[in-house]
Amino acid sequence: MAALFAAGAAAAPFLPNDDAQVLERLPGRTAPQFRELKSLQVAAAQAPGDLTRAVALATAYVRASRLEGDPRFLGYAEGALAPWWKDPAAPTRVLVLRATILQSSHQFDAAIADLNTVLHREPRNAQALLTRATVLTVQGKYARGARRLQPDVRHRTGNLRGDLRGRDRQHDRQGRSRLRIPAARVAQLAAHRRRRTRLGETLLGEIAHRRGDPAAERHFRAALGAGDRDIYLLGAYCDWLLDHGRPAEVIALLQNEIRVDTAAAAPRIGAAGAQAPRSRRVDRHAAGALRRESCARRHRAPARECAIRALPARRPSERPALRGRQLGVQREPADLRILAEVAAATGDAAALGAVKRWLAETGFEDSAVAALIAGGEAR
Amino acid sequence: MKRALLLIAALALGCLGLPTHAHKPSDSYLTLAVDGEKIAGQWDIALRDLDFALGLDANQDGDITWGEVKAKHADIAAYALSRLRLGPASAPCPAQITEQLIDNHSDGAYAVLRFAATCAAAPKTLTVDYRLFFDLDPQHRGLIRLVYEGATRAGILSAGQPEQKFTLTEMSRWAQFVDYGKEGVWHIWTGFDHILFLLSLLLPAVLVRSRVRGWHWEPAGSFGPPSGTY
Repeated sequence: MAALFAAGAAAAPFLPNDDAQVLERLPGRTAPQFRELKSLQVAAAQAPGDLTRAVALATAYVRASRLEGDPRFLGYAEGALAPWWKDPAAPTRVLVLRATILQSSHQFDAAIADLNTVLHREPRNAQALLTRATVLTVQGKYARGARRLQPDVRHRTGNLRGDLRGRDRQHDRQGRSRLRIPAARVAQLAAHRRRRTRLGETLLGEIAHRRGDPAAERHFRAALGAGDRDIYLLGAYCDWLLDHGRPAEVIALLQNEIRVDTAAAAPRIGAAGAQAPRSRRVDRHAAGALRRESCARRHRAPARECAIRALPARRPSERPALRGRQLGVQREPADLRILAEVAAATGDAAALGAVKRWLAETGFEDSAVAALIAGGEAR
Repeated sequence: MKRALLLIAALALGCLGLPTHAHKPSDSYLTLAVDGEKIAGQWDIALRDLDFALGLDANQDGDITWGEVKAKHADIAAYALSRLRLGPASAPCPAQITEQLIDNHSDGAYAVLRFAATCAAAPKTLTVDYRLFFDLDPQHRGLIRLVYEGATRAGILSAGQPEQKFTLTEMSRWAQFVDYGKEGVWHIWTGFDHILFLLSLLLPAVLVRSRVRGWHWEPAGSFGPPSGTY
């Protein structure tokens, strides 16, 4: 067994025989953002201890971690803030960034503590209010998240994520027509910044996906057409495609995104893409592999988030317990969906109960989750 | 803690053979085999991390080629070895690189540094002082596996806990879990490589499959060498 595990951890080391052999691809290195990052690195290195330069560099790293989906950048951001990192009374700008980095590694309580310190100093600090609302939203505490986030703050900052997330529940509860409001807002903001269009269309796509509205695809495609690559967007769109039985399109989308994993995932993906007619079994297998890929691109802790979805059906007993534990920490719609899938697959009453309680507590609605609950209860 | 191990084991067993994922925090994998005063080492360090520290991608086209890595071999060796101390500060065991290879882990290509270190005398306690990348990336972790007379131990070193002392004469089978507890099992969850690297040590070290029929685990009576792990 030891040999088996060792083989899983790594293949045998080798000596490449061609100098031109590409060993590793570093995404985004030719993009303007990377050149900007380099100049910020140089500036910060020239003046160690300079708060403004350090904050600018850390901010760029956090942005890079979002674009690339690579948690290494969060470590670099922490490194850039090293002189202030352990200071509970650090400057406000550092506290806001530190909270962002902490919440990215699921240290929600520490993040909230930092943000509370900021808001004690500056009750109207817009970024702290928004970040706090985001952390609470990730934890599924929608009402608390929205309480302090007054509309004027959202509009002043033009922050669509706060804007739309707050309304998400309202459309789900009150019907289709409400969706037009944020859509109009997206159009309004699109004139100003492409990045906001991408974010807004992504969120509208996710909302439509959860409601079972075919408009989801239009929103996702609009987001894809609105600028830089975005790992989160790719993951969200791929999830939608997989839910609609279109794994071949996922292959095309992720072709340049899957790096070394390709070796392991490609045969399965390839099988799904090439086989016609495809057997349902191969499709399911490929869909699972692809779902993990897209899942991995949306979460900081990919192995945990995505492997649990992938656990083979013959070992069902551990899965609801694992998901239940995780749902206590992070409560995003994706977490609910994973728990619901596990609950449906196993018919586990406790897991089904957890899903239903979560829905009742938050007023959240999701057509796929509803179908999964029905399937789980029918078992 | 035993329960936690079994949980990890169950997850890892369930996931064998499945593709793993590219994006996880930065780690390196250091294996040390102690034999008398000699230590044979293998250190797997991600090319992405080395690129960030040393700029491997010389032409900045986004591709790290073998030629570019080879050109930096001396820099890589000096950079890595200057951030690892084996033995006490007063009498460190100097190490020299014997060869540099490449390996593909689930999250990308790694430089494989093989090295040999010689201590003044056979150590009873081996201190490992690990500082790789901590100045650049405080979230980096060093995953260490130490092999001595057929027994194995492991540890996770971090910016907050960069040093670990391995008492070679008292390699306790359970002590290692205490070490992981301190570090937090969380980090281990964030990548399959962690689980596989550590389980390659832990499972054979502390658990054997019961001779009784059925899937039932019991503590091992004695340590055996984890075949094929090094």
